[in-house]
Amino acid sequence: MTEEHDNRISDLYQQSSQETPPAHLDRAVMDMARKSVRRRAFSPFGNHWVAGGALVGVVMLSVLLIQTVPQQQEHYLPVPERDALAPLSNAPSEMRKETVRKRALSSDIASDAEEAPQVPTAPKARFDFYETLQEPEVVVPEDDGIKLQELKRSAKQLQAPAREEPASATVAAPQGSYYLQAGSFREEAHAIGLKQRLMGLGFKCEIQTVSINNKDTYHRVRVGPFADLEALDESRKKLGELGIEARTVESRE
Amino acid sequence: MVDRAIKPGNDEALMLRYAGGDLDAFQKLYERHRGGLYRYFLRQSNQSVAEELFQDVWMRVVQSRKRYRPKALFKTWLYTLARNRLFDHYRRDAARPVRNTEPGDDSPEISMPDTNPGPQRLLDLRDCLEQLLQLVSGLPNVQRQTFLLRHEAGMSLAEIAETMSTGAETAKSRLRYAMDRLRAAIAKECLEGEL
Repeated sequence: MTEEHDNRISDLYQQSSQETPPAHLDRAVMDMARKSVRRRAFSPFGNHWVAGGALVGVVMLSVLLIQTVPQQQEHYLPVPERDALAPLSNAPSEMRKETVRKRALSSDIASDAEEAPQVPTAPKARFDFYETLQEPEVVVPEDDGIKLQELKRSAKQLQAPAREEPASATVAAPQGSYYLQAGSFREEAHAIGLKQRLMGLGFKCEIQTVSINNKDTYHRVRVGPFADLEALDESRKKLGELGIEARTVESRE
Repeated sequence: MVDRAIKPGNDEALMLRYAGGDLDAFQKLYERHRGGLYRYFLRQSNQSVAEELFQDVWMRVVQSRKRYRPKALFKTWLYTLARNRLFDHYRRDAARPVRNTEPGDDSPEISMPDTNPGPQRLLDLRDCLEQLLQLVSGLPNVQRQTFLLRHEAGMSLAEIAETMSTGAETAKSRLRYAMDRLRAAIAKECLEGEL
């Protein structure tokens, strides 16, 4: 009787075999498998592709840096972060534009790397690898408090009625939405994985797919949007507790 | 560890073919194990976690294809990866193995489902299955693992023992305890009549 009941339980349990992975999961796994095969198959260096690739990369970067650094030096001048916005409205036009351009290049509050060239007066750089190389990994500065204060100050200043020409010289437009970027991945599957993990933990999030210079595609996992900065800061702390360092981004869509 | 012959078309042969770049071989392998592995996680977490862990395990399979050596059965290797990943998850998130946790459900322990259907209605197959799945999720950890390796991976006791790094006798008694518990808790109607 016991054995019969055990068989009965096993048979009953087998009825649950209709529960299978959703289609998007199948696609993600097969994509991973396909890409892994393709990457190896087309490698010109055979088993030494890592060493070969690294060598070529180092040589190319060295040459580019030697050629480019003198011309690009001005973009890396230290910029006073805390009071950069205050004198903008009173400064002469050229100085204001220059300050905005430097901030766009030096501060990660403004926008993502590939969005920086959208600042109207930014000169066209000879090379674009500065922006491109920043993208694969999201690095967050430690001084979160300073960043938040700056964002708050920016928003307050921009909402003040007496300001002149705020729109073209702003870092954070008042009508924009704030997000926390929890990660940016070349592999869509990795982005989906992080998104699902965050959604499982109760975060509202979405994936934004961007193409940089029409070459590289990245999948960003963004938490938000946040209507106010307090909520943003709270979520940033929660993510930090989970070991995820998120950067604040503003969407102007 | 038993020395196993690699026959064309078995899991180990497919994995070796994939290591050599044959994507069709991977697809066959994936088709064979996707359902079982997915449900293995689903019975021990919620859907979003199950999907994350499922994907992670396959990513590890893909990443380690070049290093794969058929010293053990593919499925014992696969479920060892799965088991380790699940334990990582439990450790990291201090998550409880709760099935279909709904928002607001903060009950600290898994309660055994009410097996009394009430006088108004009889249990049908779906009720019995739902009850069984809840009971499986509520089994003690090692018993649940043993039950799932048996029923989802189709493992023998020796294979379960290898995957769980224990002896065959231990695996056997864990499975027996699991079945005893399920049999005692499930509604009697579910053990009688036609399914």
